[in-house]
Amino acid sequence: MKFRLRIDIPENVKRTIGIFLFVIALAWFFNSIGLPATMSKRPCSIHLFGQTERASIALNYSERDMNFFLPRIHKFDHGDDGITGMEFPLVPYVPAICYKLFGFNEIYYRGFVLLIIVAGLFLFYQLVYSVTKSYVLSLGLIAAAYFSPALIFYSNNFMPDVPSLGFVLAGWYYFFKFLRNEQNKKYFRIYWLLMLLGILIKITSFISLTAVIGLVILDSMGFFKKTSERGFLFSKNQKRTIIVGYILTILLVAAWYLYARWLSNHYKNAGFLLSQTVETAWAEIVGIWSYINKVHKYEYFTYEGYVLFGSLFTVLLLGYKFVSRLYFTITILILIGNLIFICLFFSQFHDHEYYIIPLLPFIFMLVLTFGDFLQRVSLRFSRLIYFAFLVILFFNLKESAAACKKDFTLKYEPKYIRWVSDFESYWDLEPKLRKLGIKNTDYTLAGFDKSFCNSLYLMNQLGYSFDEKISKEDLKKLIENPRYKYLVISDSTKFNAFYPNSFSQNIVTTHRGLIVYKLR
Amino acid sequence: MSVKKALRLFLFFICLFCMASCSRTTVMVDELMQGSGRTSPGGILVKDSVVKEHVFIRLDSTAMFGPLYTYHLQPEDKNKPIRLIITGKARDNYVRCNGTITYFLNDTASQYNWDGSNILYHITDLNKWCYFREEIQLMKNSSQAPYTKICVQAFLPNARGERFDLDSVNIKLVRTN
Repeated sequence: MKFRLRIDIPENVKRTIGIFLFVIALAWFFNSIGLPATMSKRPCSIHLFGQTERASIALNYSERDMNFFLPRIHKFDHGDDGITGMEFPLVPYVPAICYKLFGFNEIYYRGFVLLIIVAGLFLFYQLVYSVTKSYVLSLGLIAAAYFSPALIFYSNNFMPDVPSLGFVLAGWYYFFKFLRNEQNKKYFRIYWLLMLLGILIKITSFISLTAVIGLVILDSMGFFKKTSERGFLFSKNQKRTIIVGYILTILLVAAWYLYARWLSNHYKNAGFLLSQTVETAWAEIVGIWSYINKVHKYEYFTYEGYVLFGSLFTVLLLGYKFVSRLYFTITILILIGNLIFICLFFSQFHDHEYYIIPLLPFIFMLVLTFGDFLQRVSLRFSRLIYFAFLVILFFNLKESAAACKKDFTLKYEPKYIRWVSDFESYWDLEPKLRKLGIKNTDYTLAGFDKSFCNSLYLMNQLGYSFDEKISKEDLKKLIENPRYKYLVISDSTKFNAFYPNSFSQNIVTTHRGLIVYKLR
Repeated sequence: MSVKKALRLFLFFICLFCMASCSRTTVMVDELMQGSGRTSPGGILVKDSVVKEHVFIRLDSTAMFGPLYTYHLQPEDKNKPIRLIITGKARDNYVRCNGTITYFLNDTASQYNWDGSNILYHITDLNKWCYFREEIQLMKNSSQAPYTKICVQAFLPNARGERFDLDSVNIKLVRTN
């Protein structure tokens, strides 16, 4: 006679335990990598250029004008207002409201970005649970997908890629809700809105929405005839809704980017890259590929991550019989979209490791597909398969987490911060300038700054920055321009080589290697 | 209160407790204070103009070193990440201060690493004492780099009229587990 102990836990208690597990795991992981200590840090480390631009938009909203449709930046390229075109500025706008309410602190910006990705991860975790019916497995799979050093580093950063991914992950959760509850239009609206926001923030996220259109086309061709109980995936009504939503998204996104371009041209201030180049020269492509292999390979995923995802994909291909056609089709469609994007804009991957982030829905869909596969296989054959996989996953995650922690710690090391972008001296210059009676509207020249507005944003001064490439004539013109009242120089020896006229009588203050001169 | 509510409340407090107790464990390995931990002379000892008994270190010529602080690694430090925390006061008369705090990891035969932190980032005012704190993560004492001691020393690579003063230097070595 066999005895089996079975405890039936009510669904809402299970749900509470699931939430508890997620919160604990996340809190433990963030603490172990030292994320809380970085929350109130000023923009620093790698890709400071892009970080300060977004942070500058938020600060200008709160200090100058809250008009959502006129984003401003600290540097006046050629225009007078600093108004510039950019991606949809929702992410800088929310922290700007917090700056207005509670005072300036970049923790609100970092916190908002972190909140979006955590919400996205949580909803996707719920989605994986709805398939696997195991919170432990869902948590493990979500952790595997999240353990990308690039994704972790930018999780509390100023770049738009992570919020876009957060919206897309949440969007997928509501897409499946919409698929299961045809009558409830609310889910479609939420799904569509989240996807739209994701795409407006980072256009690469269009891949996920296009994958849904791919599903509609395949469904119309009878691809899901055998697997779906109804004989089809989408009803006619659902198809119509999806297509209308897709067209509307294209129109809205196109409208925003046309408007952004118009803003940049009209106000003569092009702070953001609103177009991308297609690389066609073979030698260049090979060069970029070898650079990625050398520098970015383990920033995308850890070694353990590559092994895991490669294995999952291979297992899914081998065990195709037990794979959900719907989930696997979405995974493949996203993969195709990713490959097309990579082929078209390969040159962008040279210096931008974070370009991998909007392509990550593929990994999330892969783990979802695998979760479903594992559930089916373990129910069909043996529960041992499920436990064996959990053991493998545990050791894989352990190593992966350690590698992610190493990468995250390195990127916030003072030595690394100084090496990649030497702007630490500007971090606390603003209070000193204000004490001396210098207002942030007193137009300031800042040299030498290769970025767009690193120095100007960090010291919160409106004006113009220049680098070593500036000609002597242009520098002379700038200094003689009556608009500029102050000059902040990071290297006086270098500056004197350009502009031998001595300003030594006009020094207002010095600060951590910087010299502030009064021009007039 | 229903059982479900009680369970939720219990889990919430467990959550809070775990979040609060998550922290990195660190062990203080050694602490070297200016004057007590030095193993070789270096720099010029200058008497304070206000408190005559108090002395600080001055570096004022090219390639001048300050006193050397040495820590010999213990068996329990093997393969453990060590963090060097240097605090103190610095003063300089040159805007782009050249003064650095250097560290080197070596054994009797080889030197595995030589690096430093520029004090420039801490000099907020010229000719005034400015407090500083520098944290440096040292490489692991592994089979590839079997160093036996950690040395810390102030260094002025380039002077040209510059006076780099250091006072109340405290060097902590912390082992992260």
